[in-house]
Amino acid sequence: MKELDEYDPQQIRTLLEQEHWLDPLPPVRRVPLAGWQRAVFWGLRIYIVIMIVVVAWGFSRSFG
Amino acid sequence: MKTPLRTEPGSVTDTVALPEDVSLRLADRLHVHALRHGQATLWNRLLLGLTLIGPGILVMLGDNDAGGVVTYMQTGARYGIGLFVPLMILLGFVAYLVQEMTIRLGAVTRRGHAELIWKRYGPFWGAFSLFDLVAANVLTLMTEFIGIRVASAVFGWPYALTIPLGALFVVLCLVYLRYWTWERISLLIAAFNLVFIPITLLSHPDWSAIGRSLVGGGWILTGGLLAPAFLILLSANIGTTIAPWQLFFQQSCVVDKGLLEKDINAGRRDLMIGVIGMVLVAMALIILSGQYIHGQAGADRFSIGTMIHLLEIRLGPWIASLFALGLLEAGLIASIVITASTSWAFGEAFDIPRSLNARPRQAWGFYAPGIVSVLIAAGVVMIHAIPLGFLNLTVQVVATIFMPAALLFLLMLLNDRELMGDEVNGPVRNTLSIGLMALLILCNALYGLASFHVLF
Repeated sequence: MKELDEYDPQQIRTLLEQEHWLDPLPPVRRVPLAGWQRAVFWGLRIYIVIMIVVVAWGFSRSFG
Repeated sequence: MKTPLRTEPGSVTDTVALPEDVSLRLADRLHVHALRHGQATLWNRLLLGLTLIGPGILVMLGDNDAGGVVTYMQTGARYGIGLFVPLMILLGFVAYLVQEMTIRLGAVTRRGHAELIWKRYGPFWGAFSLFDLVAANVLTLMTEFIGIRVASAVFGWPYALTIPLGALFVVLCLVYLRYWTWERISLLIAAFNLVFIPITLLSHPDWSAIGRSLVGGGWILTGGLLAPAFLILLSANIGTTIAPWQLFFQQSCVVDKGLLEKDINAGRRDLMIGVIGMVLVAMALIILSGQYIHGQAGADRFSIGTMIHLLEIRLGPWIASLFALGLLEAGLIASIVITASTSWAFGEAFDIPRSLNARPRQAWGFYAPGIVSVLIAAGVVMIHAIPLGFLNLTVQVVATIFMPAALLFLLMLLNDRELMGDEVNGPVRNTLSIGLMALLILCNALYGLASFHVLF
């Protein structure tokens, strides 16, 4: 594969413009999680903690 | 280092200075552009296709990691050629459903997964998702080094030598290869993952049993659907097919490769090739183990070392050696991609230079987390008395435990019209994804209940 300096500068400039490689990306606006979303995520955290304890305990009995 | 770009030879009046990582990515894009807009010959089309493959194949063949190989062999050993053979095809569709979303998300937003979570929902939730990823990645890396350790034993190589060498190779690939070279070398290593298919073909598989398994034959589940052993293996097989690192990895890979909206279809084809490879390898392993290990006394408790020994007795030393090489490769390729996913996620979360094209001195904060994760995982597996089989299955199940939260973030981002525009998820994809989350939670909850003997 060719290095960048082996390409025609005009070709490089055209691609830079076409594919917007030098334009800054649009900012990602912060969106606070809705109440139900926070509740679901906290529920999932509790689920993760419980399941890890269960898996560790279960395996120690079944395969230990 | 900056690469000066001049509009006219010798002119410095209109110069654009490009960071080195951008200039390297631009060279990759120019290569794609030249092939796409060059003569429409078969050779050019083939070269374009080969240039655009990468993230999808790597994520899916990396998914058939050492832990996965062990899990598929344990599945075949316990349940034979039965339900799990066609289930792998279904899990292939599940993997495609999940991973396709990361292609669109990366190509449209041109940002990695961790960066989007961090910026869209804030550092508190971003830190949660990063913690889940890193914890799961370090654990999964341990299973990769377990694979390397077991494979080393087959050849009589001391693991005190092979594990550090494996870790060194992974670190050198991460730190010193630019994206394009890293991707091509990784693809070459990943291709060896397919070795399990000829191994199974050479073992004279029972085609009639395989055919029957696709239409309900041999679906005998000792202990029933709610047996803890079945639920463990079901969770482990799902966990080895879809895992949090895959979401982060493929999206970061898409961004670092420089794929854009117009490349989404190429990304989908790349992913489909990877999924087909993943499913065929998984089925091959279950069939191999189902035919030669299943039915032997205590087969469900055999270690992978014992299984390789049995393959040697039944099929000869060449097959056993090839299998061990495949296991070594599976551990190596997964270590390479998982380590990259850790580094990318840290780089994105903390908004620091985060490209494999970046030089180590310019982006040490990006490379360091990946290196540290490799050192921790390799260090743990060097411990002589560690229960390898126990650790492996635990890690696969833990991956499914982290998955619903990771999937929920993915779904929220894919339904965000401000970020995704017209590429937002449709109702069918959302319904299937929510169904998958519910299935994962149900499967784990049933296992938890079964473990407590509530159902028995």
